[in-house]
Amino acid sequence: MEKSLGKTVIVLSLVLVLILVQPLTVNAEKTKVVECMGGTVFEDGTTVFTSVFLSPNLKTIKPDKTFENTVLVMLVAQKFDPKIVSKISREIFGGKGQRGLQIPTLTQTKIQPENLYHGIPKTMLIIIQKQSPETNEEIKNILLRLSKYYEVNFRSLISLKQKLFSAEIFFAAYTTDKDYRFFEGKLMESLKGLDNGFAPSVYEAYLNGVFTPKLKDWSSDGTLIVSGIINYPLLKRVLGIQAMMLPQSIPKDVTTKLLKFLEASGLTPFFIQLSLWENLYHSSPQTHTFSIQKLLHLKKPISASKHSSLSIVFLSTPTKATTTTGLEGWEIKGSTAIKTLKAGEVLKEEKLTFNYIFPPNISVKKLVDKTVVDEDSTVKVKVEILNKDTKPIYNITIDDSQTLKTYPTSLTVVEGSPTKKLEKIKAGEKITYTYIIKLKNLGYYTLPPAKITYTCEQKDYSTTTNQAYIKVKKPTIQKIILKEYKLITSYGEKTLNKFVPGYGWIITNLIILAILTIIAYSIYKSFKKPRKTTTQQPTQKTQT
Amino acid sequence: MSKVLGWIVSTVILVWVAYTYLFPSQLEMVVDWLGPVLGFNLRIGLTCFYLTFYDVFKDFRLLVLWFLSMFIGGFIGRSGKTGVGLAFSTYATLTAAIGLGFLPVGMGLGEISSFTIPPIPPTFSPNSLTQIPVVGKLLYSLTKTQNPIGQFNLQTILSLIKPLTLDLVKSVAKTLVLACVAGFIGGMVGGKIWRRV
Repeated sequence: MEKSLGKTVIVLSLVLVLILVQPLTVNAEKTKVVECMGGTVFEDGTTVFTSVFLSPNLKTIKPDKTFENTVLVMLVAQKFDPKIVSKISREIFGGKGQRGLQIPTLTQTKIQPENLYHGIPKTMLIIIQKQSPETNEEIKNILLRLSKYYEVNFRSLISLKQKLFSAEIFFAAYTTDKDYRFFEGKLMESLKGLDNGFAPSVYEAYLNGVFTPKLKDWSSDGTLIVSGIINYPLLKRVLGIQAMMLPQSIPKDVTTKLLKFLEASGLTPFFIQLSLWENLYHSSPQTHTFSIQKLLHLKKPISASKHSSLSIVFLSTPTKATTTTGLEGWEIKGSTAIKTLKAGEVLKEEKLTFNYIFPPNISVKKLVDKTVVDEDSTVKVKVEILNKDTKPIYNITIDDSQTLKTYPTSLTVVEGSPTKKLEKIKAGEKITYTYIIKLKNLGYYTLPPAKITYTCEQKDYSTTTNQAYIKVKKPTIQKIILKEYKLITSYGEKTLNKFVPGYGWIITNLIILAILTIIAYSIYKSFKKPRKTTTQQPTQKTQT
Repeated sequence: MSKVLGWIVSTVILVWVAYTYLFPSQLEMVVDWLGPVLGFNLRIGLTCFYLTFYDVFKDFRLLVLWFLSMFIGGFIGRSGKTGVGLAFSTYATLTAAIGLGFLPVGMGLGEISSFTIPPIPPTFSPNSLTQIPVVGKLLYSLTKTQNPIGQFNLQTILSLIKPLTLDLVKSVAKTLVLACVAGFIGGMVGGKIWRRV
């Protein structure tokens, strides 16, 4: 009896252990493994948060590769605009292209190309430095030169320590498209070439149509641009690309098939997930809470990657913000809070608070009623302002005159004006301002952002809308001929009217008609008359 | 006068088909970018550039177009000799038309205040420029050279010009030979058929 009771107790306790352990194992499997995560809050309230998750079943991976992918993900995630992708060239991102296009090193420094990476997402210039005692001083000089050249200040964003090396990431932020364009031009001039850079593989993926940013993988509360990156030498052999960025909108079965294919080849897929959130902070309240779990919608803890000796979590707030934390392990450096995680360490609920007055929550848009039109067509341009804040805004000025300055000869305003002044926009109110433009020539028109200035609680703010695009189709050959004919006749009419006032138009058309008749008659005559060929001539001679 | 008609017909066919159907995407990007300032002339000019400087043996559609249009031109001309003459005159016309197409550039530059380079459209890819003949080669040579801009010496300039000229001469020669052959065949066929009619 005792024996059977003992057996039952053992079995029951085993079952109990199994019941208790099972969810833990499931939880352990579901724990997100993070390589690096960080957020930057900009002065306009925009927050960019990037997290790099690795697949938990990852067994072997070279630390260097992990670092490169981490950095790549951060680089791509920072204010990444899909429209810019088409502009990003292999030259901009560096690296040696497949077509053998080599970029000359413009500055003759001791720096080896592999020690310096740089790329340009929409508003950021990021310089990543692999540190070594020999190059540190040189890199400082380069940064100094670059900051003078681009007229920006580089800030150290993060330090990464790997088994093989340590690295420092510097960044400079830009706010408007105008600045970006200016900066891009300068960068193109002074870009250094890179061999074996990480970015070309992404660009390659883009070229191969694997990474399709046009599909827009925006999540409801921010942005999730890429759901995973697979990096394999096998891909290079099979598909000719080194890394694949899989957008969220790719059907799941495609991803599954791809994973199966890779697994069948005896390889474990290497996955990175990255997320990006934007526009989270606005004027009220003044005290803000930054919660990593809330941002990432995580219910389970986050575990630091085992593959790198250290993982980093960071939050960078505006320079004048006061960041406070009572949490363990967080270190405040200026306006940046950093937590260093050891390999495999678990990150639990983390909330950081900071004080800062952000601009009011105003949404501005520039819209056009048609995006593809014929020559000499009219298009309605709309500027929408939505006050999402709890406070009204005053003295609003809409300035869209830059559009006219961009295309002075081919774009005219036919109705309304590109500038407008408004007294007040109440909280929750939406104002729409419209004017009509006419587009004369063919081509792709980029209507620059409209500038909106306003006052809120006696403080002046300014913001810009998005750009708008209009494509004017090519005219048909018939239309061109008609246009040219009209141009010729009007010129002829003007000239002849000086000599024979009032008859210029008739005379011009008569002259053209006469010329055409002569040509047509001559052609007709030449066809009626048989052509003398070289073989016929000798026969004629013998006849005479 | 059949020579004139042959010349008009072959030129019109070439320009019309290339402008409407065969216009390359790399050049389309240039038109998208600079079209708002330079108008349709730019597209016409680039169409002629495409017809005269692209390698006909690397673009099958262009090869067919040149062959057919010159064959028709020669056919109307009604002799092999006229066909060959037509090939040269058509090629010369198209080359001259490139300049006419870019005429507004010169005019625009005259009035500096009204000439502004528009922003690069999002559809524009700098990499595609490398696929345009002459331009691509020039970019390649420029990026290959180790001398920064402004420090060019005669040797560097010559090393840039030499491959460019060689490439240009090759593609021009190919097009002209093709046009002459097509014009000659067209002329011979035309001559025989017209005589029977």
